[in-house]
Amino acid sequence: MEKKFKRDVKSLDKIFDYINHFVLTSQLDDSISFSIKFVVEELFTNMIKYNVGHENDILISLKKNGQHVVVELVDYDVEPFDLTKVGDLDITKPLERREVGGLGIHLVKKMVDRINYEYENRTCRITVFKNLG
Amino acid sequence: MSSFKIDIREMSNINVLDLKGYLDAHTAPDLEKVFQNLLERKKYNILINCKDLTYISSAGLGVFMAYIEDVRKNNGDIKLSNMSPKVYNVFDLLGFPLLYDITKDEKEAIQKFTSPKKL
Repeated sequence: MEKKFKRDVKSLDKIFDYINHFVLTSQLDDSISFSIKFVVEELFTNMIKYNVGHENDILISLKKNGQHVVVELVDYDVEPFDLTKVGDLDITKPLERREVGGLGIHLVKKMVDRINYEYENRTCRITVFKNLG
Repeated sequence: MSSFKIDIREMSNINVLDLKGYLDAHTAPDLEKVFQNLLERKKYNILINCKDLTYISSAGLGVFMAYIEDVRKNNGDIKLSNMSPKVYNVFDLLGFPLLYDITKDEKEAIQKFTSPKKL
């Protein structure tokens, strides 16, 4: 299933409803719901933050593919930003030396099994694979 | 539709925030306003009860990080209690249990407010 959402944090309510519907209709265990919401929110808000200056909707696609859930976000007419190249956070740093930025991407990398980044014709496509079980 | 709610209780010199629902990029500014208000009123002992917190993203975590230094500089602390395993897992992946007091229940957190604080 796929659906486009307005690039605004106010879309999160609708996105979470969409994910709930996907989890229910795909007969997935509810425990996967938290991770999917987390990953989608972090990627979605990252696209809003780094691809400013236009109002194109963001496409979110959710699929169950065998033993994987495949989550894909597509952002149109944007500059490249490969989040897979963002370095890992040092989680051993004391609080005063930590930065708020980068938390989400760090957590997404920890929560999923694979992330692909593609950029072609000014279109950014991020695909995430999460193992079931 | 998801929602987020904050109830505030004051117990002696501790302000307890009961978080309910989804703490995400849309709702995190609501929590930020509560923290700003507490700090303006010089309320530095803050306990976050996460019993009914069903979801948290990095935007929510960022609020705790943004205020912890100010709070500790004023001899206070932000402690968290009653987390579900899913919410705790997010804190754990960032190494937060070493930086924040995260307790099983509210009673334990309140007791810790009287013990020496983490710096």
